[in-house]
Amino acid sequence: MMPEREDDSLVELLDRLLKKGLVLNADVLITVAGVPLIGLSLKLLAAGIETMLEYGIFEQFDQTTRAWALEHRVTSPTLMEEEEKKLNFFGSYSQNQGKAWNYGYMYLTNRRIFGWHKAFNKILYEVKLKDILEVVLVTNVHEETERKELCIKINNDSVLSLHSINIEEVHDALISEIYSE
Amino acid sequence: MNETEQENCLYVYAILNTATEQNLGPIGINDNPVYTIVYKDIAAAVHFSEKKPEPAKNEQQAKEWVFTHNYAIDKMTEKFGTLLPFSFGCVALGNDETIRFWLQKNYEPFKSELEKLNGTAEYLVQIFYDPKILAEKVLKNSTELQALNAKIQGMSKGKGYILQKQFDVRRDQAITQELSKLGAEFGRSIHENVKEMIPEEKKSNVPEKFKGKKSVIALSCLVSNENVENLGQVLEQINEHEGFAVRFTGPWAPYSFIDLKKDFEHT
Repeated sequence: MMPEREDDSLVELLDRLLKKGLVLNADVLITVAGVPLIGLSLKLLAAGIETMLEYGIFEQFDQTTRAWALEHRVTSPTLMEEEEKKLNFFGSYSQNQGKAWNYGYMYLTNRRIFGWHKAFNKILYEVKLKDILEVVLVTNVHEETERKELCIKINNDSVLSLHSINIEEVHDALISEIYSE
Repeated sequence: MNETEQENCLYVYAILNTATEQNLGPIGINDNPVYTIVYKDIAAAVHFSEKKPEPAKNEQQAKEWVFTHNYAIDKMTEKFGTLLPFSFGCVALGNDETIRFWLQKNYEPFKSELEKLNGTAEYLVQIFYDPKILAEKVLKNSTELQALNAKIQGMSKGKGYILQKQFDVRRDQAITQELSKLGAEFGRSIHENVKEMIPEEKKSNVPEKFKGKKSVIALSCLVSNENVENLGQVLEQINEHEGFAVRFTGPWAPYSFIDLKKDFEHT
């Protein structure tokens, strides 16, 4: 097989261009003959243009971008017709018992439970209440501490785990929404 | 115009092998002409920049800049061979003389790094597996899992739940075992064909084409040009393993393999 550079290697490209490579910074070089060689590096915390704008890495140059972000900022997710928000909370979620937990704003409505990326108005995951098979509060060890996690089993064999400070409240609200549906 | 804008700044793309000052054409971001500033037989490729460059107007433009930056790096690699790429967005305060002095001061580490990377390029190897196929495979090979599975079949959904959990855990353990066994095998055969490899720290992105699959490992590999074909063959064999798929992307400039900190410490 031969190496390719497909359209979808954008992520890999960004990863390299933004996170790797040489930078002009303090631990490499600073002064040249008494002339400071300033590195205005736009190095990122994470890959992806979206992240770039979100973290304001253009910040050093850039007020316009922040203005752009402010202008385009949406403060709540778009709901479907006849959909009603019941609860929103900040927490973390993990899909299919993977190790990675991601943070986000979670919304429970009378139709679904979903995670929402505030800065980019993007749905992170969503589960329709009618697709939920089982909801269990389990005690799990996370980073050496015990905590309660909400385990949601879904139709197509997948599992969504949620955690938040008020997870018990979320559990109760979710159960009552499922039953009232 | 205020005075900061009159200060000279240079957007830096790369350090490369050449002893000739030359204009590389308008291949830079926003069609800026890129040129080389030479010291001895190495040069920095730069374009003139304002101290406070205009920010990207939108995501599209930011993307274009990143692509253009990479295009410039590609063009220069074509012309000068393997180079030391800079991160996107590095602007140095100073003029050509500043840069030349900086090259002079750091000539040894730059030169030795260029020599080390000569004739190589960076590639990304990602190996994915299909959890469903692997689950079937481990079930086929384990009498314990089969017995557990048979037990569950005869139970009500509620009663079977705990047992099902137990089954899931055992099966996942078996999958992990299988993966680490094969992973070690794959790793060895890849390692024979690369100069260096670094596991990607970040959770690997699973492209659309591999939807439903999970990442086993993602490796940034520094590969000699003459070895790319061999590596391709090794990857082809891995790709033919049932339940596995390989993504082989590149070549990239050796972003992941520049180790100047070490060199700087020596000087």
